[in-house]
Amino acid sequence: MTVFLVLVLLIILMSIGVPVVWSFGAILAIMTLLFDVNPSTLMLQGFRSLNSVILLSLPLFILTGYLMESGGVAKRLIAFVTRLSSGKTSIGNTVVISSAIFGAIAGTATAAVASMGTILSKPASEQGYDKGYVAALLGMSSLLGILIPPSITLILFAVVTRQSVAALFAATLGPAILLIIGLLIYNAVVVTRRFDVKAPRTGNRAPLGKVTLEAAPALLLPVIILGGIYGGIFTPTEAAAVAAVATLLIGAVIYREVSFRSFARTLVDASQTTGSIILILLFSFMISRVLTAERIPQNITEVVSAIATTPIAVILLVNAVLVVAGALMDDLSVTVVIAPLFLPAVTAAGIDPVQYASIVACSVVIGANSPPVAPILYMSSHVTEAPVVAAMRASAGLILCVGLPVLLVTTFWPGLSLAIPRYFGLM
Amino acid sequence: MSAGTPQDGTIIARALGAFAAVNMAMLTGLTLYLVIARDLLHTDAGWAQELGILCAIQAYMTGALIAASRRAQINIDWLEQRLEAGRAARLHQAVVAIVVIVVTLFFCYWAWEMLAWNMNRPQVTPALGLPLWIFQISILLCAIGCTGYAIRDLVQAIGFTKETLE
Repeated sequence: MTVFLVLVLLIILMSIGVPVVWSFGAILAIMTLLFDVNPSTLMLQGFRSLNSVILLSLPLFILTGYLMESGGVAKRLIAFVTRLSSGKTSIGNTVVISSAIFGAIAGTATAAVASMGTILSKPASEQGYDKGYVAALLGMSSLLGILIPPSITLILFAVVTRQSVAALFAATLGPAILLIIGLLIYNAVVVTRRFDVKAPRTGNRAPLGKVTLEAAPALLLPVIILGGIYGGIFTPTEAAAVAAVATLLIGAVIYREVSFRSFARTLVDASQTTGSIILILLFSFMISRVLTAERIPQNITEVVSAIATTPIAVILLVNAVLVVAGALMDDLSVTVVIAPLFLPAVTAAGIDPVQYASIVACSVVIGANSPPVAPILYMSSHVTEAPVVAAMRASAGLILCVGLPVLLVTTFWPGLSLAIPRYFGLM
Repeated sequence: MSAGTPQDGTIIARALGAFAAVNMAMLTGLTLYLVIARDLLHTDAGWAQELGILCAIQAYMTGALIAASRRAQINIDWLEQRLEAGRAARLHQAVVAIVVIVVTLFFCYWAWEMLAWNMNRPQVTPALGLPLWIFQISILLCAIGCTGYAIRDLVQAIGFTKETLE
């Protein structure tokens, strides 16, 4: 009951506009008073969690995302994918495929939304695409970054639940491929049946060879990152540093779009974004400690087991909670606080923790596009200049026809998540 | 998240930006050096890892402080967007600022307790022998800085509210 009230308070604080980090801090303060926690050791435990080598990958992948944008890497990737696409569905396909490539380099959705929304919204309107649909498709596709390694969401979940980052990265590849296929099919159906979309003009397109040559260094980045991690050459953290330096070199030496000033600004922006996330993580670590000391996860397991008597009912209940939590809270809160609370319950129901990470990631994809709290959808609406209501309507279709089916398949088909980690001997 | 406000030009903002940039650059370089040291130089680079973590923690905390200074922390702003500019909006800002001040004071207390605990039981890192408090002090400074920015937000909100009432 206490935890329920604390979570309600957390939602209230967030809803009235208290920054997420201080909403977490507030409930932590209340919990320390309620449960008589020793403050010196509590903070020390939070600090120990920050003092982590795995966590170093977080600022480095965020930096890579910013460098992709400021160094011209994003622009060339989009140009390449756009050039490859043709026909009425080309813009939608470009959004999905470019998002997947973005996800394989940076692991954040915001860089993909900002770059693609700016570049593709005008040609999409000219072709006859509905603005709301473009915003919704961009919002959903950009979240492929959560499923495609290197994913910041998965790094955080791995740190909080003490799992192998490489195993979680491999686990979400299957759901990611399924989501890509689902989005491409949905785009083909919607564009041909619902909109009066014209095929793009091909007369003044840049030669394919030139576009490919320009994008080649950028296209090598996912190969370096994923090949390095799964080839055993470097750890995910080292891969993040290699990705950042390679993106910087490509932007500065090959594309010549990175100046000292823009690089410095990128470093500061990356530090700011990381700092905003890290403080939330610090408080969530401390909240988890208090909850664990009070045996709250065990109590939740008992309650879930009492409500849902079969493993299928347990996982469906947890799925529903995660999706609703995603609609009410930001994705970070769901990943680092809500989802870990249910780990003992789902493990008791026979779900592998690695598969559970895939389920959490799919839920976050849906939650981040579900109002009222849908930061990525709002951002893509803003960037594409689409009315928010139109984007929400289009997003509902994407969630119902693509997002939820992918979540359910991921839930009921363990092999989709576990085959690749097992193949690489990661679990 | 918004980036860039009038505060960007102040000496404090510039100093914070420079410190964050240096730490981020060092973190990147040191982590890359770990790969080079292991795979090419075949030497142990435990010192680089320790320094990398120190730079990371300093970059995290400076970044958090910059986010507070720019009012760019992650938040759910649907209520803020629905409140029209003026008295209601400023009252809302004042309420949020008061909540943040209380929480940041707790944060200062927790950070101080951690530092005091560690001062009484000194610990050092294995490779470089760096005292642990060097890593932890940035958390306390971040907490103090965030409190300062929350007070600034309250003062600005109250100032505007009075103007609106007059």
